Amino acid sequence: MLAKIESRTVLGIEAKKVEVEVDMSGGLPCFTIVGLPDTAVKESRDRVVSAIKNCGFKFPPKKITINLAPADLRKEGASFDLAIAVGILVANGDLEQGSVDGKVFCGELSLDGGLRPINGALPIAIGILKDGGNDFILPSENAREAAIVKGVAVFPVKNLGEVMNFLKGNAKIEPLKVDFDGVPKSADSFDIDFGDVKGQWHVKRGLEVAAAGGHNVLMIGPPGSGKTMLAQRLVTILPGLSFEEMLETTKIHSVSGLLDSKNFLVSRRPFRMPHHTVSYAGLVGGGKILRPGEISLAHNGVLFLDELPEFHRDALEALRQPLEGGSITVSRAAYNFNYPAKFMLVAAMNPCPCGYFTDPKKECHCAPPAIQRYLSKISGPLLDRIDIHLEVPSLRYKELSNKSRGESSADIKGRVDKARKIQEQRYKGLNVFCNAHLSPKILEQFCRIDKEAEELLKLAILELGLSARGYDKVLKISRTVADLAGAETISAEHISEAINYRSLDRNLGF
Amino acid sequence: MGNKELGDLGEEHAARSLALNGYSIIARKFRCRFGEIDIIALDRGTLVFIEVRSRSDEEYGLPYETINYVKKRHIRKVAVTFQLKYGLLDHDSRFDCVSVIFEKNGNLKNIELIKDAFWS
Repeated sequence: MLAKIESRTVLGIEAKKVEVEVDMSGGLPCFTIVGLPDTAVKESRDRVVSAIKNCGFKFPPKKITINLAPADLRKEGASFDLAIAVGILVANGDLEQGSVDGKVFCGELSLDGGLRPINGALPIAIGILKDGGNDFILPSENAREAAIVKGVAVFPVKNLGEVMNFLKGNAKIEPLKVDFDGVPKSADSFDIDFGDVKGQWHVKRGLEVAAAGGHNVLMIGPPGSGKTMLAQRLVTILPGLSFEEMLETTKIHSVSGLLDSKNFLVSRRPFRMPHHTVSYAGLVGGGKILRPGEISLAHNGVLFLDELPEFHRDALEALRQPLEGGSITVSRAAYNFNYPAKFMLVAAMNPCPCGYFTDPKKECHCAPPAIQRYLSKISGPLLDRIDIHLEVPSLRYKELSNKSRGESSADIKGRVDKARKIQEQRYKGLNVFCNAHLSPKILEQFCRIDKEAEELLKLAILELGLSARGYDKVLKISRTVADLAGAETISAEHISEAINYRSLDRNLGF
Repeated sequence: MGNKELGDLGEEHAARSLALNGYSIIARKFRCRFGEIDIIALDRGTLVFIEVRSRSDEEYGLPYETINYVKKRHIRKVAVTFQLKYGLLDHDSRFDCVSVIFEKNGNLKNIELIKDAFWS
């Protein structure tokens, strides 16, 4: 007796079809799983045996061979349990093969036959739709996340007994529908606001420019000046996610197992703040069991690296390629995975090890070589990819005691949205979405500057020692500043503001 | 009573009890170079290899607790040898275990049949 059950596994963030073949024959009872299973898959044997028994079925004392096809693909995780259990019951004659054809089974079994949630339900549902649309039977905790995909009938189940009744036709399960229009409403409500931060108006302005142009930001300032607070509030002024972006980001979070039945859709831009002890695999993705890293979890959102020089050097250097390409490819001997990683990098650091180098009130105790060493942790190529440098000074008493709140996030977001719309229209069909990603060729075409601005830029290069790289950056930033002002051509005031955001080029204070 | 006698007596009791349960016994003490299987029987068409474990009450622990991984492997090998010998490799088979407990004076205290006792 042979049974064939369809299941799915997740490779990177894409689903891959896996056929579970169950062969049952006479002979000494044994149970083997073949098809490159890892330990979790091998152990599914004991879970399946107990689950079948505890659901009131007889576990047949037969020679059972289970093949997970394709045989050359490494199978990981416990999500094949349900397919294996159903396969055994079909092979044993408890079910008709016809009743499982055209259905996809995924789920981890517990010993009592209950179903536990799996990782990657959303990418699997998308994969099913691509393969031609089937029924998808999965644990109820994952159902809402998979039901985002329209065109796949998602059947949420709680235990193996329920699955059997459903397949036999004894019980009906309605395919789950997620009412989608209701979901993204919560996307705009945050419990933090830019109004919470006192003073620091020029840093706020800098972050507004960064948000409007998608520029990466580096904030430098003494401890306690509000760098972290400001960075956390950056997501409140970023434009909302489009549906495609939500889906992409949710896919990554689904694979990482960060979703549950309440939080089944990432409707806000993610804000990821890894600790500085993060390993490079944790940051960019990888590890023995491959997982997306923090940069992929921050896809379409903000990656905030607090205390930038404290990060491991190899972790920071690994950021270079994804910052440029918007994705990361993790290569293994047998295969490689591509995780999307289009994020806005926001970094914060102190100007020196003790933190008070630029502070007007407190004295810095660091020796010059110590400062040099501290700053040299951030390599030129990485710094090159950061457009905007902001100095965050410590606040004076007058600013602290000020009762009036700053500008609210909603107001700033309004301006950012407008600037983004201008860019979207300007770069239509060029595969560029914001000013930060302009290539040199397009830069020349779109960043036209007037005469006065040209003079100023020339002066800046000569007097302040702006590099060629800095020149391009200034042009990009001034393009964003001009967009925020709604101006067609870049004028001197836009340029001068942009030059202000290149403090590390000017070597001021360092 | 020595251990050998205890074992033989236990097997007798087990065989009688199996017959009462509808098993038809086809071999006793099947021996090959890998070891021995106490009883081989047919239970409604299924070939059953039965390991009998006897204990006197004085000892600690239950009889079937003494079947460990090595013993299972031995029994399995002998079972395959039996199947090969009679061309029964594809026949539905299973392993049962009978535990026999005696009282101090040699009277039978308890007999228990465990069906489908182990898998590998």
